[in-house]
Amino acid sequence: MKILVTGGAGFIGSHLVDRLVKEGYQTVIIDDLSSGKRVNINKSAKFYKIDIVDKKIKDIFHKENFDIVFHLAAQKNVRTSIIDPIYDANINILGTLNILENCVKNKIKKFIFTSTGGAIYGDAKVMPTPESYLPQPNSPYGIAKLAIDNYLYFYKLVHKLNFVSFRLSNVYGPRQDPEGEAGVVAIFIDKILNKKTLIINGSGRQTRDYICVDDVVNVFINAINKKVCGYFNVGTSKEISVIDLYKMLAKVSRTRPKIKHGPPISGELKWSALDAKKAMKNFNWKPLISLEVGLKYTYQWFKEKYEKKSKK
Amino acid sequence: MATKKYLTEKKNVIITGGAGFIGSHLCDELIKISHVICVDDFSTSNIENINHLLQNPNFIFIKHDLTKQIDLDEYNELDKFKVKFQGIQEIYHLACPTSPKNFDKYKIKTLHTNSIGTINILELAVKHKAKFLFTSSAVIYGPRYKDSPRFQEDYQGWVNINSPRSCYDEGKRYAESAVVTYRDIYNIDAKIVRIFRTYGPRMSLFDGHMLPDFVLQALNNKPMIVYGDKNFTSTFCYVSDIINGLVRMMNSNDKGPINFGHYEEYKMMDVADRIKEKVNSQSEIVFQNPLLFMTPLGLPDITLAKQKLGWFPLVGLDEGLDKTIEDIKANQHLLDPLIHKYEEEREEEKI
Repeated sequence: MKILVTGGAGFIGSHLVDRLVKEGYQTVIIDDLSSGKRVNINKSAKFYKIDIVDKKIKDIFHKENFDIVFHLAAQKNVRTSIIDPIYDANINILGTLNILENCVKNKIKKFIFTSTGGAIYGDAKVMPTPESYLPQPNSPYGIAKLAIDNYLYFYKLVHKLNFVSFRLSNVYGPRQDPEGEAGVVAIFIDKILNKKTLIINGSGRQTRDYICVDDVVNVFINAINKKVCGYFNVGTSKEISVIDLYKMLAKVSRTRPKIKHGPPISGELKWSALDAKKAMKNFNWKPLISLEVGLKYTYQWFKEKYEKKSKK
Repeated sequence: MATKKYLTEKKNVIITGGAGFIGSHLCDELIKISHVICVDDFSTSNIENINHLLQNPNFIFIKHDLTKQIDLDEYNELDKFKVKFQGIQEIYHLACPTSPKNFDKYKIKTLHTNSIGTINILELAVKHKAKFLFTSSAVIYGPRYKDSPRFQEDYQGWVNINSPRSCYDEGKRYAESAVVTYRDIYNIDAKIVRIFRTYGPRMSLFDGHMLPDFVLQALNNKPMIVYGDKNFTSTFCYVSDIINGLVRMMNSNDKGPINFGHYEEYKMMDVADRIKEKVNSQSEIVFQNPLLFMTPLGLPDITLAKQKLGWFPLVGLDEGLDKTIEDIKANQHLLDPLIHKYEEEREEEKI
């Protein structure tokens, strides 16, 4: 079976590719390395450096004849989408439609999309939030992801394209980029290792549902052979405040990092947690990695990388 | 996981080697939710490890040598757990003599436990259709392999079948084969884990494990003996993390083999140094000839345990050493009369 992973040099994508290769799938990566990194690219996977918006993607689809497509390539920064909605829509809507059109023309068996939970549901009144909750995205990023979710319904209806859309909660783990705005875990760990002050936006009581990248990859892998279509939340159902996260990281790193409260960020979600029962049932899956274990392991990964760098 | 109803409301669990170092900690953990039947013959374990459990209504100790067939019907005390009706639900098979220093003394016992003993307990698992977990060891991989010092579970190992220590190394390999064969033929839910170097309270002293002896030696300002040279390195996993892994494995659908060990590699000498510092000791660190059964071992790749079980070691060396030191300090009055053992050893070495 041949599998395409767009964004396969990125944080989640590269973990997915590593697993696909390990499980024996022929794996191809499309990534323009705008935020993905070359070091993350699995050597056993075939790599095309190209933007998902590029029309030449057509040639790759013709040549490779994929069975399944995982679409992870995206503009992932919520704040960027607020500043420049057209830029965001160009990649996250038009780029994705470019991939989808090619999927239809080449009769791909299944399209697996990485959507988002928090940014789609907004500050939901139901916690943890199920898929049935009426989406009300509060950023262009969330709007674009929801638009694709709606397009997927159309592609299924009209073109019979099987799809799974995973609405992810806040994913953390090794290789997450501490430079970007997304990924408070990576940002905090980076600051701890560099002995810098952690900045907490607002009170720190805002909550998120943190899930370890390995658990996300597990559900992706399980989706390959299951014959279900639809939208599935992927999260732990647990709300963790930024303050709690800070405390846990202090414990895991055995340090006492300094904190400073910054002004709250307008438009940022106050709370978020996803009800993932539907995914658990349909994909015979459950999150295995507790936050403590996941943070410990992520911290260790960053620490080793940091130590290697300082040796050089 | 769905909770099954049992006649006695609790699972009946057998732990072989339950009076040993890891076994006794497993007893402590499982007794919170199960009936624990601890099987041991004290060949290299110690009743002190389970003394505190003997009065517990959910605990039964059976002194039995596994190399002889086990018939649970002979033990009337098991009626308390309604074993005749409810049977046995889980078996953790940990039993195997472990003594780096007196390895020779237990060679035959080691050979028999790994082979006949394992078969005997597997038969019991078949009889009761019990879930079965075998604790294999890092030794099945053989010595470190230059190209990849971290062993993944699919590496088949490189072990000398005729070496003086093969009763243990090859014995564990044979036992794994026995588990896999019984699983295939009798369709039992049998699992294998491979444990790398572990430490913590109750690890036996005066037996060549080094780490617990460092503590006692440091507390008494005696020379701290490293068997090997300055480059002896190893990984050290704290026992509570291992126990957590064993329980997760038993409750999962995975069959293994899965590695359990710590990811951080330390020099034995540095561990000694740290202990010395922690207890404010004046001890000097001395080096002696390596023991046949105390080798550096390879390092674990624990990706699979994380992926399949969500397991990752949480206790770092400093924290683990603190707890180990606390435990040895608490028992110091019992240990003081034995300190001279270290000196005798030094004398022997000089001759």
